[in-house]
Amino acid sequence: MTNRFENRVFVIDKAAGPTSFDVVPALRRVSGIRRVGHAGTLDHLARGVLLLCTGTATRAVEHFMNLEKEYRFDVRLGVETTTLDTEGEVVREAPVPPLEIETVRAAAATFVGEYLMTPPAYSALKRQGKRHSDLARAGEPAEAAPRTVHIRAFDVVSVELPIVRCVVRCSRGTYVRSLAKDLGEKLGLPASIATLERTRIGNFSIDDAIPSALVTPEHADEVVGIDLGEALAFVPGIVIAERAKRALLFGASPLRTDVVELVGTPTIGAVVGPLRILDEGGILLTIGTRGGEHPRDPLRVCDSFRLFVEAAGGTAAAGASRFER
Amino acid sequence: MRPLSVVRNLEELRALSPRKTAVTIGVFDGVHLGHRKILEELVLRRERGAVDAAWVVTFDPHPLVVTHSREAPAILTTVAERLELFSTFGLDGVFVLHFDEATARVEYREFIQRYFLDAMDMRELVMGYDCHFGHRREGSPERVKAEGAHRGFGVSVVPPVHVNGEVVSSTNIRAALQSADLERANHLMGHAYLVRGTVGHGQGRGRDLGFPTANIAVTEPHKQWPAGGVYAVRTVWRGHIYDGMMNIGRSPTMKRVDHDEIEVHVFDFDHHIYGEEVSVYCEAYLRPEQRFPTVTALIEQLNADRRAARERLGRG
Repeated sequence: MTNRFENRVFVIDKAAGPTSFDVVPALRRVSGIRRVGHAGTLDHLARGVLLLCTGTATRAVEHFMNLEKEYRFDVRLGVETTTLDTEGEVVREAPVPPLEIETVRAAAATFVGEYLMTPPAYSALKRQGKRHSDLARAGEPAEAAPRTVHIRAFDVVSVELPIVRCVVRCSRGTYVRSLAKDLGEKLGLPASIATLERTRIGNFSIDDAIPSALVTPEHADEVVGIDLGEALAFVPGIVIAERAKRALLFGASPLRTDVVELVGTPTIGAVVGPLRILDEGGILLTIGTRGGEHPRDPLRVCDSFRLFVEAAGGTAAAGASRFER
Repeated sequence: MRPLSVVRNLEELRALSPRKTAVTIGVFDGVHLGHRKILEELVLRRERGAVDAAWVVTFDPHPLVVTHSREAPAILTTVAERLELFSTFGLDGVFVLHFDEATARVEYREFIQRYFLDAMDMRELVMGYDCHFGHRREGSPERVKAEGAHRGFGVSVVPPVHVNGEVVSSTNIRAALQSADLERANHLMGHAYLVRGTVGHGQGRGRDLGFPTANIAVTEPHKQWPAGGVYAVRTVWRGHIYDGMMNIGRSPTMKRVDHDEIEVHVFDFDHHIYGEEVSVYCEAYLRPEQRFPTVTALIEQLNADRRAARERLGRG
């Protein structure tokens, strides 16, 4: 019996209130699947897209975490809090002078591109095994090491002082709270966020997401996941010959001569990140990488990602029979 | 799928009479990453249309077993194992040349003429960097290249492959296996170590414990066994693949036999496979063999081993 929830990716629209970790057990209850993982934390105050993976799809979490994200958020100028959101204690206040939207846009534009960001003290990052947010609440706030992130776009939608409504598209590891604080600094004002919404992870949009309130056994029919292979369609791929599938199962990476088709890349040499390895029927077998720097270097299969399809086949024998086709 | 022809003597080869071939020659013991590179180059020549067929010439038994029987090293792959591993490359044919004193005396130029040119219509020869064939191993890449220029066939030499700074060689793989470093051996081979054998009757003790095992008899006396211990394995029986675990050793708690044995327990499996050939791919080393004070302690450990094996096989 295959469970329709198994080995899938669920695009959830998490409501403000519960944490990412609260949604995981909810999906466990609905699906009856023990292995559920999420790709990228979204803290309790924030609403928006959260990707949950079940079964073997949990092994692909890393690839989803690397995707670009889009946030819609309101910056509240004039107030900085310990948590850089509405929950913390006020640490700094200043009157907000009249501001033209063009001034705010000019300030926002300076962040586009590479940007050295200091994560907030209250973040899910860990220091010596403890979350920064826990350390901060225990009265020893931790300055995390600054990191370079990439801001693809930073739009100011409206200014209704003291609120500035923004949309940002950014790389993995960007903290919107820090961005809000830094935007305020550019304008010479304390700042924190009033609301935060993740509207997109890669092409997974909040418009197509399942509201987290529906992740309950009563609404199980509405909890529909995306097949892992389909969800990973953004990753370039190679189609390998039937004969090479068996070798793959025993740990042998495909050879150049095993590649029958390229998907989403003009050459294998052009691939820099992960690489989907597909069979001739388009079924995802595993995820690999190109071996080295040189375009002719062999392909490599990451051990931890081996054999999506075999596991998806249920029993070993059922998986094996797919290799026999 | 391209059928792989296997011939075992010159008559069979002549009967098949392959035309316009690219050929490679060697023992290919282990069919490791270096060999994979050579076979890739070979098949690439056919894929690009330079030749019509890709053929491998390999030897049985291992030439060293014939010429230096006393100090010959253990072998990583029997001919049956090599043929199984060759089957995934898209080759057209394998010529398994019986190696004996007479074959050893064939001078390399004569070897090229008799086998490669007359019987296989060879146009391209792909050689490993350390390949030498013919009497006294005189057929080195340099000499064979000179011969090719003279006789009109192309010769290409494939350089060694390195993994983490270590050159991939059968010798290094053997050493890794002997020191229970299966992970390193598998990395150098580029696939899981293969042991083929026939299922014999065990003592049935495993069944009493809830872990029925197949006793795998390996007929090749020179075969390198993995070091004693417990492994996560995949077993191929009649073309189907099954997850399982393997013990190599003397089953000290239950049997205390006086020689090492290979026992495989296949998960969720209840077929009778006595007398049948199986291939066991050793994926991960789990722990050394150990004697347990009680049968209960052994069963507890076997349950833990099963969980560990499933995890390592990607089903955790």
